[in-house]
Amino acid sequence: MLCQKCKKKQATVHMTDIAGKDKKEVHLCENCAQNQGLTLKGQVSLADFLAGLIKAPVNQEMSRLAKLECPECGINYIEFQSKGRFGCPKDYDVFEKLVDPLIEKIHGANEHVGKAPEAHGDGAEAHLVALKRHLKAAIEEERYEEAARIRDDIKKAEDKTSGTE
Amino acid sequence: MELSDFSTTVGEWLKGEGPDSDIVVSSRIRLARNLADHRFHNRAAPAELEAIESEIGSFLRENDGRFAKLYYRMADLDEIERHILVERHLISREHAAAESPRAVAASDDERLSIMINEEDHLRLQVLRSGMRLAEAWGEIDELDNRLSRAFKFAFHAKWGYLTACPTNVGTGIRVSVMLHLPALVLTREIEKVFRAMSKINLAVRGLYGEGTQAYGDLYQISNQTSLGKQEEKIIDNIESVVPGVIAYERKARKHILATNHLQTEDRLHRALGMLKTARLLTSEETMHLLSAVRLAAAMQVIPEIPSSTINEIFLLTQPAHLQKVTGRALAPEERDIERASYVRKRLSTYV
Ligand SMILES: [Zn+2]
Ligand SMILES: [Zn+2]
Repeated sequence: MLCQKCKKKQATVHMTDIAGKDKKEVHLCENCAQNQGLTLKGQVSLADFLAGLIKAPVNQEMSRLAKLECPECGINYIEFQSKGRFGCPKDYDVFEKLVDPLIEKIHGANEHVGKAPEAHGDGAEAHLVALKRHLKAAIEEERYEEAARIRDDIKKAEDKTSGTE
Repeated sequence: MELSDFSTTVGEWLKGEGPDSDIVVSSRIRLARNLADHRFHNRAAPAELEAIESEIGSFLRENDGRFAKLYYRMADLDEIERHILVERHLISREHAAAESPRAVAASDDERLSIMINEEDHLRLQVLRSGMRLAEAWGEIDELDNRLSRAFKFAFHAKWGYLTACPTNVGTGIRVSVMLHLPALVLTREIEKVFRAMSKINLAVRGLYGEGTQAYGDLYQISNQTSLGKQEEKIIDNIESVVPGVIAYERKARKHILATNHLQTEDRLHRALGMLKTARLLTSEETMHLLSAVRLAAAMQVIPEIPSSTINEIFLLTQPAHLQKVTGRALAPEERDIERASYVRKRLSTYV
């Protein structure tokens, strides 16, 4: 994620500005943060960093979501906030709307492009991941015709998986 | 292999071999994996964790000859034995400390290891001496594929491998190299390395001690994010910056030897002299002095001491190993006596 101020450097300082009426998220590079008087002492620990990211949800819909309990493990988002750990794999779907921006903030991306398990899963998911990986490689190696073909395959595969839900 | 063998041997990663091993001590890749049909470690009941441990444990011992010998349940080990595994980098401190059902499997040469029921159900690790990330990736990729055919891993179409902590989600990968950077510390250039790495989103930390004050001048460079890039890209990223750091350290070594030749030689020989004669050595001081001796050996100032010997002393003088070597529990003051006596013995043949 780029710094909101200079729009040039990678944002490494993330915080919520609650000075105004609305909560506002601020993402700055170290330079701009220092210029604003938001100096950091040494390295920020991972726990602090995470605690800063997993903060109280902003609007009403989000607060409702935060109180939802996972049917599998019984955790809600507020408990997750305090521990920084999920209770089961299903939580990623249960709290999807809250997890998506969190992952984006931590990783600067929100789509996995690496390997997938070989045989297990329903096959379709792994297939989709493999296709996306091929697409990326095709674009990088400037094989555009192939990339277009793969893009069509991905669209078909996605329609299929969303149709079964 | 009995745990007692750990008082005389070191793992492959401390052999001091492999490309650029005068500076790159070791290369490590870790993958976090979870079973799809189980709750994560912090939310699973003890019985569920026990079932996971025995299922994965028996699979490894029965189907993969590499893990037939070294398999330990934490519950069967005492405090010192658990810390021996920590000092050998086979398990984390957290893994050693917790009381819930957990285990570790390792190959005989300790290149491969698997923590079962750490924060994630599975933490696979490949640890090699020298700069060997590509080889390490080949090994861990193969191990992961093998396990993924036997167990259904928690995997999400959009977010990849699901982990208990969202900082590990996606590839679940942590790639790191451990570097010995004494000349950059001596010339106070190490801060620049810290800054350069953080600009490209890599973390640098001292391996022992806090922040920039690393005992033994050992630093670890690792990736900070695990989602959005292919595993090979994440590895490439680290592989592409390490040669620069190596060159920088080599330049700093040349510089101190060229500008302060006698002082540098004096300092390094004194370090060896201290180790050979001291009657009391704390673990911190030992790491500090061994760092100088390692540098002296690499710069051909004291060329006759092999890095494998230095690494061995480094490992076997850490608290848990020292107590295993001595054969009994030692109070901290006793440790300093035993440590000094062990180091004197090991270095007595070098002038
Ligand atoms: Zn900026
Ligand atoms: Zn859950």
